[in-house]
Amino acid sequence: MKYLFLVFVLVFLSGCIKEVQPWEKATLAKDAMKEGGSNKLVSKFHEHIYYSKEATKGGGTIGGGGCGCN
Amino acid sequence: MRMQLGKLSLAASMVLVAMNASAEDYINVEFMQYDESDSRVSVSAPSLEINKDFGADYTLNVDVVLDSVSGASPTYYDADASSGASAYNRRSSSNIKYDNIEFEENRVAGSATLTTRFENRDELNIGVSYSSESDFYSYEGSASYLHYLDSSHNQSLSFGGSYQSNEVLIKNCMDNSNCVDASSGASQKMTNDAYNLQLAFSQVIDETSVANIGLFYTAESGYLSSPYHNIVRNGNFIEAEKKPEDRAGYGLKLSYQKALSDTLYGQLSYKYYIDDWDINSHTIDSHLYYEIGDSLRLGAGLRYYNQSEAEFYAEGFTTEVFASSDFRVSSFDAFTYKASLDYEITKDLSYNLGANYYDQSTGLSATFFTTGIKYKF
Repeated sequence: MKYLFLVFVLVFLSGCIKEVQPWEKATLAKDAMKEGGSNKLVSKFHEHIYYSKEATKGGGTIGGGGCGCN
Repeated sequence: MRMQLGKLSLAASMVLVAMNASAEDYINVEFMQYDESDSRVSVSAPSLEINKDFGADYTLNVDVVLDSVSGASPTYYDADASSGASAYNRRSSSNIKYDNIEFEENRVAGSATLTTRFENRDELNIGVSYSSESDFYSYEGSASYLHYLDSSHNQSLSFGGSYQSNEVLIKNCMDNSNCVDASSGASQKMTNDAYNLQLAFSQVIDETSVANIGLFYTAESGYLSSPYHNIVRNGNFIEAEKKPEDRAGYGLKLSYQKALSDTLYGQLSYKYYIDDWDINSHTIDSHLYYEIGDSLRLGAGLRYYNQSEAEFYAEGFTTEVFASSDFRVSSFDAFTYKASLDYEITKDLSYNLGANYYDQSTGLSATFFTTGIKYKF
């Protein structure tokens, strides 16, 4: 985990970051580039399954409601 | 001059493209089906989402989902009970079994979020959520703020928090034959509260990639046990599980999205979580999307999850004050295999289909399918 974090920090600090202008963001605006997919209902359904079958809390969407989840 | 005007016009159109990508009027209808193996839980969940812009500065998003849940959940029970297998047969028994206990439940959940955009296009999201079952009610309020750190909107910082208040209704009975129904008003009401805080930083790396790093903190207090899960004490006495009444956890999430070519896109994320129940987890999630022409997108993904067991997890007999045999606080690995299809029928109408297989090392496996139509108006 420490190494992954280090890789991320290095990416942020390295010279590979480019000043991207608004007219150059067509690719970045595509649905395929949206983290977790572009469909909110599907994403919430997946999050709900993991929430009800695993012990990890947090790190997902802010707000979304709970469940009794037998 | 003409070239500069052309560039400005292009810039304006691209900004509009970006805005339309995240803010548009649409209705989204989805049907989701979840089925576990071994005749355990099945969930059918139709859902509806409406997204409506009010000018360029306000967007309202509302969704509602109806869950119809049936099946069984494993726990300890008295196999000699004349009233049949029930998690509520809590007493001394010489014939204790660990197996599935049947149940049925309907859940209604909904949420509404209002997004407000300011002059510099920073965004404020205010949301409320509600969820109800016959024996469980949840109310949640949330707020988050997205702040752009530069004029080109290549760097942003977002922070948010939510508060959730939950009510759990527990049947008052020691024997299933004398139970008072949980929804009758004669049951015992337990409560718990949950808080969630998040801070995230996003950086556009170049025209084809974005990276994000986030920190999160969660805290829960109150009745955090499940009224449907039992443990065994003194060798032969079935009791309700007892989890600690406080829990605090925090974690880190990293994610990276990259257009690998004009038609191929990749996403990778990693999440680490640790809490004071001694649970820590690692989640690695990946997706690949492939565009065929202008209207078809195929997706495939793999998710790996690993967690350690809670300090109070107990299989079978225990003498500890806090104890649970719930597999969700045990140690396990899980894989999810994912496939999806998005098809743009017309410019305003699109269809989506998703198929997923979840495989947990506890023996639980499940399939879940999603299918839906999105109409832009």
